[in-house]
Amino acid sequence: MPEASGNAPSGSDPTTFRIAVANRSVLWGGCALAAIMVCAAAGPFFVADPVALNPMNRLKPPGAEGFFGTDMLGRDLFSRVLNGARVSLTVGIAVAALSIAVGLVLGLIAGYIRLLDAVIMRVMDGLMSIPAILLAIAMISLSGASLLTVVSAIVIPEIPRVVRLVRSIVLTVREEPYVEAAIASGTKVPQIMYRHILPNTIAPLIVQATYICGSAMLLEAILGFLGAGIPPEIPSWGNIMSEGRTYFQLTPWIIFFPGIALALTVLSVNFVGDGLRDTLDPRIARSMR
Amino acid sequence: MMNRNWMRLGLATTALALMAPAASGETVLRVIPHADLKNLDPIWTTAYISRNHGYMIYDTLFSMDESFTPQPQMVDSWTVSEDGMVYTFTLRDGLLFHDGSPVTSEDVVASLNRWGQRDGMGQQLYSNMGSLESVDEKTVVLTLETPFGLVIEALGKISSNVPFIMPKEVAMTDPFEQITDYTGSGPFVFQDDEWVPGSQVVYTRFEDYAPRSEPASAASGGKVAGVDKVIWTYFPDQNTAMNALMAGEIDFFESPSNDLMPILSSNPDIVVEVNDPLGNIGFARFNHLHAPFDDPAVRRAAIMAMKQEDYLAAAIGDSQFWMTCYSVYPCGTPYATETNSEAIMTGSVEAAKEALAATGYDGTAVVLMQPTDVPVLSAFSLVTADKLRAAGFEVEVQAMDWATLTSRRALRDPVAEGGWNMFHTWWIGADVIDPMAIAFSGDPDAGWFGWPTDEELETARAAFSRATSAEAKLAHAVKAQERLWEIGASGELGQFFVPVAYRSNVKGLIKSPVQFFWNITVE
Amino acid sequence: MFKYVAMRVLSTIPVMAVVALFVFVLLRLAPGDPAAVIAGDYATAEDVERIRQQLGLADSVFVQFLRWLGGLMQGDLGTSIFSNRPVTELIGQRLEPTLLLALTTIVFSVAVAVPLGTLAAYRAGSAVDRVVMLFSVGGFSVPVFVLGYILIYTMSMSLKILPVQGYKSPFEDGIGPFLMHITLPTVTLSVIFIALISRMTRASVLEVLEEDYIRTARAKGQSEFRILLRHALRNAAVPIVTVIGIGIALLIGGVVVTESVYNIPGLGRLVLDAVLARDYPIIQGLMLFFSFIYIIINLIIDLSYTFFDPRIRY
Repeated sequence: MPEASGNAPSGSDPTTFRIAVANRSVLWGGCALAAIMVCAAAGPFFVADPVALNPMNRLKPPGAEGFFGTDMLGRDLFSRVLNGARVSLTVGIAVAALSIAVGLVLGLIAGYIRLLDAVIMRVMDGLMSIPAILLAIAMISLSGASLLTVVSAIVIPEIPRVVRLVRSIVLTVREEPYVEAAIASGTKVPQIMYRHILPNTIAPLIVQATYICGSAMLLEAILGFLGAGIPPEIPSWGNIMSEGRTYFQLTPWIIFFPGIALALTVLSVNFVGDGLRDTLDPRIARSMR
Repeated sequence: MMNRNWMRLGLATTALALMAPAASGETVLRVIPHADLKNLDPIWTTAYISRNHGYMIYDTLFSMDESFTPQPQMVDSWTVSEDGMVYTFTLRDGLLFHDGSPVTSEDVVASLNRWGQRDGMGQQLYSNMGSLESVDEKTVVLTLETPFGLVIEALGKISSNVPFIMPKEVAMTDPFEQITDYTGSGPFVFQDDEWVPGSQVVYTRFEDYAPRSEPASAASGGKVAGVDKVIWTYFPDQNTAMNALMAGEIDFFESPSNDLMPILSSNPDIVVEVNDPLGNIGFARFNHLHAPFDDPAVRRAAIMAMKQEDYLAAAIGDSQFWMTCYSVYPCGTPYATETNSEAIMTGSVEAAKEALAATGYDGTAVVLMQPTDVPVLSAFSLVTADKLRAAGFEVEVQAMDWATLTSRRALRDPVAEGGWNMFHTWWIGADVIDPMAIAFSGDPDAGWFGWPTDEELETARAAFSRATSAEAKLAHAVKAQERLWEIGASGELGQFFVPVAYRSNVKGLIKSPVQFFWNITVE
Repeated sequence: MFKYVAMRVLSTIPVMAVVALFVFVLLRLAPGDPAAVIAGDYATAEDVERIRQQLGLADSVFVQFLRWLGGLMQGDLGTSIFSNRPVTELIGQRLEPTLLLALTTIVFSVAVAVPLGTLAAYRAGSAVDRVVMLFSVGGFSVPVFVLGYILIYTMSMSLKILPVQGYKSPFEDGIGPFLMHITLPTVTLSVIFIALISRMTRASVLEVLEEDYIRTARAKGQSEFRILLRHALRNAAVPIVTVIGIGIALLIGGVVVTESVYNIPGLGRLVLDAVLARDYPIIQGLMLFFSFIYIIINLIIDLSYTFFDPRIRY
């Protein structure tokens, strides 16, 4: 569909926005996500201290001590899940933003500068071939557990995919007649990048970002399960679940509340992503995995 | 509908058939051990799981009975000279290694020599020893140079490193290098080709083992293999382990988390009981080299905040599996006493706050290492952080895995350069039964991480090791405890018990701090 | 064709070199010292130092790397620090469960996801489509271990139709026991793949269905089933196969968790245990091994394109 390429869609285009709202999965996903974000932002001000211990009051069922009951150290589960929303969303958004940013830069370079292409892509191939979880575990044991380490450990394996995506777009767009014309007429590289290439990457990257965001939150939970997640002092959904996993059959609510919160969040993020993909440009569907 | 039910029935029958143990008449005990057996040399490593492996395939000269008294095991008879300086041991008849060769006094000498270079108690014995010689096939003579009252206790020690007797060729291995031959003379034979590190270990009965005639009592007495085969399968996941036991895929679960107990004990096919009478002792360790814990008054203030009930409830849960214990020696053992234990008995954040205010504490942050992969210690760390903060300390909790913690705790560097202020661990009761335990050392050069320095404590410990009468030993042990609390060496967090869970057709378990697998039968 | 394969195989060498160097440096910079873990609670500083020397960990990182590389050239991945066994032997012991679990997962996922995705595309916009898509998004939203616990609880503990845990070899214990034990782990691990593949299948088939040749085929009066199978699916195969290739990395990650939950003695657990204990040779060897597998599988997938799409030639 070469005729579609001339008027590349961009995020700020008002018609795109209208279509996005009209698309029901974006609408529902977006609303749910907004509600979760409000809870994450405001919730913690209204609840008990999520790290205050009360060992004598441990493993209380929902209702008796706080909405969701208490965990094995007697901490208020409702408060922890609310505070966990902050941490998990932070992880998701930070990972998405960072990997898109770094991947975009590397992808543009690889796609545009032939000399560096081979080097960058070999390194990316290498990174991509190491299983993300193993890399993350190794990195976390390297720098010690902290929010920052967990985020960067999840970012690094995500970068190669973004680089590949951006690079493939650059390579395609470069061949377009209007870009070739601009190059021929002596337009400077930064300007070509900014005017012609960047706009074409925005839509697929937004969609990619939602997937990365969702999978980052899941990966954080899995790292917690494997004992290499965010420090237990910071309540994240992954942490709460991994700490509560021994109690799965005794006090299942410890794992279910954060589990449901996580599933709902990832679900709405994915809905937004799918909706955007269908709406923004059908062409993207092909370049996405 | 009919169809589906039939299918389910069919599946269920096949499932039952498949889950049944090998039908060859061979008796098998399927065990979930407390850890993965990573290493097969119980002298090279102190890991408890390697020690338990050692007890399966090796034998010892002496071994501890239920009342913590060493009894002869491989030794038939022994004598001590009048002055207590010369010990003569004669080996039992019929002792054979798994390859059929007899156990001789030369094997004993070589094995003890290797152990004496690695084990703390062994090193003390050797530093007081003049010579260890084999006189004939079956007789070994140990001559002391300086008086030492704990010769038999050392040879019969129940926990790591245990002086296991190996064949001479194996025992000649450099003590800092792993052995590669796993021939022992114990009641079970290790199956090298069936070992899957990280997953499975297989032992078979040693047909030619000659057990003592006395009944089994802790590590002592007759070790009679009651099953043909023992299979250890390591489970990384507690939930799955519990389900496997309840589904009958496993017979014995060595250390289920205490929080699984309500489910396990409500199952009529499962027996839950505490086998280790001493349990474990929670331990909060300060680094005595650096501020703020270089000041005994600050350490004592921190100890005053440690309310044992809160630690035990948070980490262990059900109160039937723990008890407070204000002695540094496990409660219920000969030297247990509450002498000078007032600080730990306080258990009050307010009192700690007051005591801390009276010191020169300047707000230096306490770097607390939290091992997130060890749930009990992870919980201890969070409770300590909570309490110390309430008492007015600045606390920085650093999360890490146990492997990182074990290497970082060995650093004496200042905190800013990778050092530390505090961490938690536990000792099995048998390891801290008297003042000789390395946990109680007051010598920063030979002592344990945290490096307390106290002459008076060392004097008491040395006097204990030389004492020969029970009264004198008790007096020196009490003196050591007095000093330990005086200088606020460590916080004691109470005594807790990890029960074992097994299917009701398993019989004959031995009460002991170490899990043994002889004497057990499967009906 | 041959030239292309040779080129691709050669190009894996620099990639593997990147992986090897990266993993090695990463590990040696990590805190945590296997010597301290071995020495245990009673050891003095001198003991730890002696063990470190014995293990060759006292040498400089560079010397250690050269030594490891030297071994690598001869096909020697080194020896585990803890169990004292060659890493190649350890990998050999654990290879079968992981390989077969991966295989059953891919077969099961494809068998479920491709028909589902095709159906969803064929009935695009219908209730069937929505349900399939909801499931596929849902598959991305549940952590693997939670799913595993739920399956064990329902299938093994309540209904008692499948064993809780463990692995039985089809070669030694027979195909029946193997299937009994592999079913739950396969289902657990498959959910995310079914989500991934059915989504991709739907998108690709949807696109192909709008092409002219489908209309032509319809006009010729061919049956819908035949159209879907012969034309639509075959032409949609390339992106589907690609997504399976990408999924391999995901699969290896998922295996780590699944093997823990179902107590399967495979490679995933081996590497996890090794990381926690800092058993460097095992971690290095396995990381290298995993990336090698990943590269090979993706090479095979690239070559399979010529089979699905005759227009692609190398």
